[in-house]
Amino acid sequence: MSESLKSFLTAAAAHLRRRIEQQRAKGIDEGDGKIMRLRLLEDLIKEQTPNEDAGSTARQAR
Amino acid sequence: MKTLVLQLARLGDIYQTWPVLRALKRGGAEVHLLVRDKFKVAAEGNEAIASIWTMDSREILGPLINDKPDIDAAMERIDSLLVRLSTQEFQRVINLSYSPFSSRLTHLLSAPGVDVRGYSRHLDGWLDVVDDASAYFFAQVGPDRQNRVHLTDIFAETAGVILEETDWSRAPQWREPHVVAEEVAAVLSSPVRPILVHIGASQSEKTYGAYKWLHVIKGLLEATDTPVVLLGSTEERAIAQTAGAVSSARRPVDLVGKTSLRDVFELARWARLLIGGDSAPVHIAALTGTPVLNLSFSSVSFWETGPKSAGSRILAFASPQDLASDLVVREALTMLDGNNGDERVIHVRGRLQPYDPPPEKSSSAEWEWLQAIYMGRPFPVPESEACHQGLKRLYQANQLALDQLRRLQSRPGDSIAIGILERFDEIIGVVGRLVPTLNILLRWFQTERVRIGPLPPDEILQRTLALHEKLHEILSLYQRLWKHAANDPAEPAKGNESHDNIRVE
Repeated sequence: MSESLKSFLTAAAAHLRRRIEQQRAKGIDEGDGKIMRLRLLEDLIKEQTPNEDAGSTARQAR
Repeated sequence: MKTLVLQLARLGDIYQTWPVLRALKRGGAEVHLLVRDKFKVAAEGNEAIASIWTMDSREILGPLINDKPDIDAAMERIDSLLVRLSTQEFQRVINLSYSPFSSRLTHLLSAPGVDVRGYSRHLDGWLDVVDDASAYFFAQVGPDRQNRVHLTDIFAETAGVILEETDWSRAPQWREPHVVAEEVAAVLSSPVRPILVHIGASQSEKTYGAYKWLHVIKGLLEATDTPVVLLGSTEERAIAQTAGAVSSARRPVDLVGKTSLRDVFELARWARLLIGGDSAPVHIAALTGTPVLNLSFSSVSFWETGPKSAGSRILAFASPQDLASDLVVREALTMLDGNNGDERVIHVRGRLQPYDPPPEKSSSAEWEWLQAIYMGRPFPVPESEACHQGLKRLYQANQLALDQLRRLQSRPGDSIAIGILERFDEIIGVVGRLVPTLNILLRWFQTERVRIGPLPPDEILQRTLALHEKLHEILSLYQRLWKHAANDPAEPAKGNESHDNIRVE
């Protein structure tokens, strides 16, 4: 993964976390669809490896 | 039953899922498969799949690659994927991706009443490890773990199917016409069946290195009249140029960067042997029944992702530097001649059979623990004094934890009891660091605790108590050894015939 791509995704992840915190501050819990979908996007960003896609099954993060 | 299987990992993982998809179809399911768009090609040809669904992560993340990341646009693309899949009204969702992302996707696609297997999420958003096979994966599979169950078999357990030979061996059915490149056609029409050498892999640490391959190829060309065909992706052309630059009377056929995966199916079916690391061609060879000489290094576990075709062999070494190229050549030649090979190889007897390793790899303390906890085998005698002491400390700490849990039954919220229970977690952390073998047991325990999920407090307490009681049953087996040691420490404890065959349910 290029450094610039990594940098964009890191910044996006930070924006996403702020969005989630705003929702939580309104009393919306983790199980709510809104937050679940934001977390889905967050997980998709996190799993971007240097090969720009998921690793093999056995290497998946828990 | 309309079934969606999630396989969001890479090419090799998708091929390792093929038998499970066929077994589901054999059981009457209408099988749909969700894969990443980039790896969709690996789903083509499997006749059991009614529809291939794709997820394009680059497309979803596209709006974020910007000085001002557009979260709303990315969320719209996520929602579009969810709507596309939710309108299908799947009755069963099987997640074979075992990841945080796939667990949330599974949850969002699973309306009430849908049969879910694999990782999902509870209503409070925390991870839900739904079934026992997924719990095994969560606790025991991956780098630096000691699992010896093949991924295909874990997939089958998760999906709730029993595999048969035909789930691998059925010929692919291609929906689209295919034009075979001239060079590939020439190999397929040759009267002599070739040796395929896959010089690449999805990650560089899985493969052998250009100069090592050069020596292997030279050795094969000099020792046999069999054609040697090089396979790999376009990105591996540089390796091919080095590896193929042999100074011998015969030359290898260089198909690196010139084949589709469909070509690899046909080439594997025709070949006498495939030599390669952990890669898609090795998993294709499992489907075509082609014997594989698998070169396996410590970054992967051959137990989990090794070849499955009968007659295959595995050379497992710590690193490529440790595996001499002439050993690879010798082993390949003995495979072609049908002779016994090096005493260090692991033999593959068949798709439905466990690997047949040499004596020094046949067992380990960790594998004995795994078999005891998950497969009903007897629990092993501690292999060291440290393990012995670790088990004793766990027993004592668990006794204390049980006392506190029973105290909480009559005095909910008792802060002293809660404080002591928190120390139990610290103790098992210390034991795990000092006695790594016991991490098998500790990870089982911690995973079962994760599985308890969001329930009313008294039900959480009951289930936690039941779990600690199971742990107590296991640790109690070793009391006899401690008593024996206390009575006659000079006399070593006998073998594990003194252990009851406790099964953890």
